[in-house]
Formats: sequence, C-alpha cells, structure tokens
Amino acid sequence: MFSHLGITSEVSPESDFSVLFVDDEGPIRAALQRLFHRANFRSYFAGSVKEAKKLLYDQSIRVVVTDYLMPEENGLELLRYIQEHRPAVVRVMMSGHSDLQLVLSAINENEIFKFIVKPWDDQEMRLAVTLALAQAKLVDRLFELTKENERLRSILSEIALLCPDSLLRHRTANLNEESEASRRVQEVDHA
Amino acid sequence: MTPFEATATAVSATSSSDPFSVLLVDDEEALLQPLVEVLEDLGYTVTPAKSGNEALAIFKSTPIDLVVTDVRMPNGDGNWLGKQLRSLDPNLQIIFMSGYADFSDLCMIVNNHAYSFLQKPFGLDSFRSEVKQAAAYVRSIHSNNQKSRSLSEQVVRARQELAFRTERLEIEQERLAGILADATFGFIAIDDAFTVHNVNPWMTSLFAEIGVDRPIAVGDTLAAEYSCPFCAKVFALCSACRDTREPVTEYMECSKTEKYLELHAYPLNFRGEQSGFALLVNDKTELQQLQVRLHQTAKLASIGELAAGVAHEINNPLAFVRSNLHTLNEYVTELAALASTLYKFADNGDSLPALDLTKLLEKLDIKYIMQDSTSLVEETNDGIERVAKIVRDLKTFARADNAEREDLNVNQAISDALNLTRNELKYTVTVQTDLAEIPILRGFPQQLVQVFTNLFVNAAQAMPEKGTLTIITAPDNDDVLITVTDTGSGIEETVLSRIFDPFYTTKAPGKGTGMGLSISFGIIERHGGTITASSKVGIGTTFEIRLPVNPVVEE
Repeated sequence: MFSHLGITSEVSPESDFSVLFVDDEGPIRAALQRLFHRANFRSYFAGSVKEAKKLLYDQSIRVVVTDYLMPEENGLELLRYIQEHRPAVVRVMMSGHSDLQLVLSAINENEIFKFIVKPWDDQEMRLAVTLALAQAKLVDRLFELTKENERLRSILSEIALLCPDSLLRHRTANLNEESEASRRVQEVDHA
Repeated sequence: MTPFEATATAVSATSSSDPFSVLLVDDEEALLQPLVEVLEDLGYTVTPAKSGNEALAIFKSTPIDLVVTDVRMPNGDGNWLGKQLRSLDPNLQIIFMSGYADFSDLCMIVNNHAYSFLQKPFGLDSFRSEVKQAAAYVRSIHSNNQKSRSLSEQVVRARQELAFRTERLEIEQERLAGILADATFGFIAIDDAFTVHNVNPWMTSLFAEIGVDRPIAVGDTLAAEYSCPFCAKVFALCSACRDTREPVTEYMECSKTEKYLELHAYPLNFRGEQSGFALLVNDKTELQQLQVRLHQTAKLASIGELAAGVAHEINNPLAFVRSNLHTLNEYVTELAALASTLYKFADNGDSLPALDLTKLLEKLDIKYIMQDSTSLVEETNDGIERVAKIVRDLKTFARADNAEREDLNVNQAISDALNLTRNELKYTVTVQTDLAEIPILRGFPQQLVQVFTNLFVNAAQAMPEKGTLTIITAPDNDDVLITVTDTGSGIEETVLSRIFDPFYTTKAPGKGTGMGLSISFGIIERHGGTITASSKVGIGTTFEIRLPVNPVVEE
C-alpha cells in the first residue's frame, strides 16, 4: 500500500524511529501500548506534557501523538513547544472533545499532521501512526537530498572554475542562486 | 408694530407740559405783537406770519398745533389759507379773527370747519381764554388719537395671538388624536360610570374582531352584560381599577382571535381630581410565541451544552474500552489458533513435538497475551464502570427533583466547578480562593457545582482581558456564606435587577439562553438559601450565596 513511499505497513526490520504517546489517562496509554506492542518501532509513553518534554530529548522520537485536554499544560501547548524546538517531529493530536475550534487551531497554528477523534478506531490509529512515520522519513529524505544537492553543486562550481567555457559558468552561477534559495526554504522547513 | 408706528407714538405723546406751537397770522403789525406776547405768556411757542402765503410756507416747514388767522389779508386771505392748511392736515384746528366779516366770509369760515371765530375788536382776556380752550381741545384730540391708536394696536395683537393659539391648540389636538389613532395598542378612557370618553381605532377593531355585537364608540357605556370572555375581563379589570384606584395588569389568551393580550388599567387624574381611568391593550401574541419557542430552545441548548461537556468524559473511557476489545479479539484469535493446532494433534492422537510447541507459543506471543489479558479486562471493566457512572450522574442531573439529598461539601463543589471551568478561566483569570472550614450541609452537590460553574463562566466572560476571580467561603451563624467576586466589567443597575429573570440575557443571540442564573436561583432556593448580586460598572460584580446549615425546605 505504501510501497511507493519505500515502506510497508507490515512488520519490517526494526525502525530506528520512535513514537511518543502523551495522555494523562493510564488506561489510554495501556490500550495504546497493546495496540503498538508488535509494531516495528519503539513506543514511548508520557502522562503529562512535562514528562513528554523530557522524553523529547531522545532524538529518535520522530512522531508525537498527544491528547488535548490534560491537567496543567494541554496538548496544544505541547505541540507549540515541539514546533519551536523539534520542528521535524510529526505531530498528531487526539481528543474526545469534538470542538471544531480546537481542531481548526490545531491544524492552522500547530500544523498537525492528523487529528484523531476519541474513541478511535484501531485501524485508523495504526494507519495514522504509520503515515506519520512515513512523513518523518520523507522529511529526513528531503533533508538528505538537499544536502546531497548542495554537495553536487559545489563540485559543479569547482569544475566550472576550471573550465573556460563561459556558458557553463553562467549556468552554474544560475544553479547556485537557485540552490541557495531552495536551501533557505529547507532551513525554514527543517529548522 | 412697525418702526414708523413706534416713532409716531413717541412724537405724538403730548401732555399739557409739552410745548404747544401756535401759528399766528395777521397783516396788522400793531395787532400781531401784543397777541404774540399774550400767547408766549401762556407758555406756547408762537410763530407770527403777516400773510396767508407766508403762513402756508411756515406751516409746511414747522410743526404747528393750532392756527390763529385774520380773514382779510393781502397775499392770501384767511379763508384761502384755511383751505390750503386743511388739505395738508384735515384735523387741524383753526381760529379765525375778523373785524368786518360779511355773510360770505362767515359761510367760508363755517365750511372751513373753524374751531371758532373771534369778532374784532376783542379783549386780550377773551383771546387768551379762546386760545387756551382750543389748545386744550387739540391736546385732548392728540391724546385720544394716541390712546385709540394704542388700543387698536392691542386689539390687533390680541387677535393675532388668539388666532395663533387657536391654531396651535388645533394642531396639538390633531397630533394627540393622531397618536392614539395610529397607535398599535388599544386605548380606551372611561369615567367612573363606565361611559366611554375616548377610544382609538385599534381598540374599536379589536372589539369588532372579537365580535362584540355593537361597536364601541364615544358616549357608549360599558356594561357587564357583554357575553364574551374578553369583555367580561375588561369589565372586571375596569371595576377593579375604579375601586382600588391602583393600576392593574392582566394577561389573557383570546381563543376567538388566537391572540395573547396584555390588559393594563390605570386611574386618571385631571387637575388633582380623580377622573375615571384608562385601559391599554397590547397584543403580546408574538412575544408569547417567542417565549414558548425560547423555552424549548433553552432546553435544547442546555442539553447541547451538557452533551458537549459529557462527551469528553465519556469518550476517554470509550476510547480505551474500544481499543482494548479490539486487542482482546486479536488475543482470542491467536489463542484459537493455538487451540486448533492442539486439537489437530489431539484428534490424530499425536503428541506435539516440544520444539514446535515452543515455536508456536513464541510466534503467537502467548506469554504476553497471558500477562496482559488480566489487566486488559480489568481496565476495560473500569472504563465501562466509568461510562455507567456518568450516565447515572446524568440521570441524577436530569431528574434533580427526585434526587435524594446527600452530604454536601461546599468547598468540594467549588473545587469541582473550578476544575470544570479550568479551560475558560486559565488564560485570563487569576483565581484566588479562601475556603474556610465550614460545616457539611445536606443537599445536591452536582446542582451546586452547576451553580458555581455558571458563576465562574459568567465571571470569565466579564473579564475578557485579565482579571481576578475571588471565591471565599465562611461560616456565618447558622449559615454558610459564599462570595464570588470578579474584577470584570460590572453590571448596570437596570440589568442587575433582572439577571435572575428567566430568559433574560445580555449576551448575543445564540450565545446565552438567559437560563443560567435563573436555574441557579432555583437551585439555591431548593437548598433553602439565597443568592444576591451587587455590582459596580467598571469595577466588578459580587454574588453572595447564603446556605443554611439546617434548611427549612419542603421535601
């Protein structure tokens, strides 16, 4: 199903990406643990935003699924924190509070990847997490490709310096400008 | 009054002390001089002239009150002069003098409307008295003219004023009649004998609509024998108002026209005297329908609010119950797979190789399933129990009247309400609580939580920018006193008096049902307590709730 993304939803060799689930309710965390018990990624669980922020030091966490309504800080506040400090982490929100305003602000302000309504459907939850992981991989791939692109361009410009053909030099200059622009875009995307 | 008239009045204002000017005409120098002296002694201004021509010239340039002239003179005789002067001033008084006047002279003098005729020779005394008399006459004429002019001016002015006032009264009367004629309410003024003095078209057509056998008109007498319920009601209301001299208001549904009417009778006073009474009838049909609809909407809205609040509480346990059951289903599938393998061997009478069994157990993750199953079922049961409790609570909430009284910890109710409203409060409101040790009451904790929730949400809405919500509980004699104070926008006095009325709201349509505080009022009443509000615009609002420890309430 996701073969074109280079991944499958089937159990594949252990992923080096982890997923962090945040919910103040123990039984919810337990249910999620059961659900992803046999998944090919590591799962972390946090009972509060404070705990989640600590766990986020682990750079392997690339997807966060958080509840909205929690005592002390809520899910939106966690997402805001992640957006600022770990923008490459893919953000998913779940809530039993079917408040349209909440969904809108989560999507518009916090650029969440998915919104899951409680009570969730297990298939949907699995799919959402799988897709979020794929998204995280894509983000990484994009970053790698951008780097590779830059490396190749710098080689090209070195060649251009050695080559007397003015046309080639001209083209290289143009390419460098484009590359610079796209690098900036990537920086913004990738922090 | 024109400026000219004003000047004329001023100039002609004469009295005996005013200068009086006499034109004295005679061709005989010897006669002229002594006469001038006589008149000047009398205090008159005297202008002498020796001929008619000269006199005419003087008259044209000098103000003259009286002319004394000789008849026979060269260069314009007396009669000629008289004619000339009369043509200039028809009211001029002239005294003629002559030594030898013939008949024709006398005729001329008479025709010239002489004041008098002096036969020469005359004594100076008679001359003096003649002129004095003439002067008095002229002055009286002047003064009369003056008086009559001012009188006629006054009459004109009075007439104008009268016309103006009459017109104004007519306009005012028309306007007043118009106000009643165009009114979209019924008006009828009746004296104490029930005779109609005033009735407007709206009222007339209402009577017609209702089908009173004869139209109500001015001069009619309202009688008790009208058979329709509306008329009976009108009669009863008017009687009550007549007897008590107090305003009375009643409402009635008119089945015939499907109208909901407000009837208001009030006594009339005219110049301090009781003067019958008036009856106003308002069509409140739309308002009534609106209120009925609003009541239903409010019910639905509160159900909606409740549902939204409850949804979160239900959805959380539902989430893990659902997921757990799904997982349990997978466990069962795997256990079934194990069982079917075991059956296969059992049916064949074979014994299962230990290695295969271990592999199968591992593959199916049976160890984990065994470990997890107990807690999975326990947690799921807890979740279902939680949902069941919420549903039970809802039932208690919905059937508050049938609820049993239980121990009521007011401080706990306040904490619960603060938890429930945390989301509304946390961004703008600083909450300060000073919860004293207070006795445990008997009552309905959930309902009290509802009251506090309502007060806190209102307070948060009154403080859209930052503010402080202070909640204090304290024992006070046999009561528990709770004050909830915000530093919000405050409530105006006119609004404050109505906040506990059902459906009264200052919030935008759809934002509030206007039921919150009236429900709260009812709940506090059910606890035998009181709730009051005080407020200062721009400073904030305080709600004070007083709950008795031993309430006297109907069970």
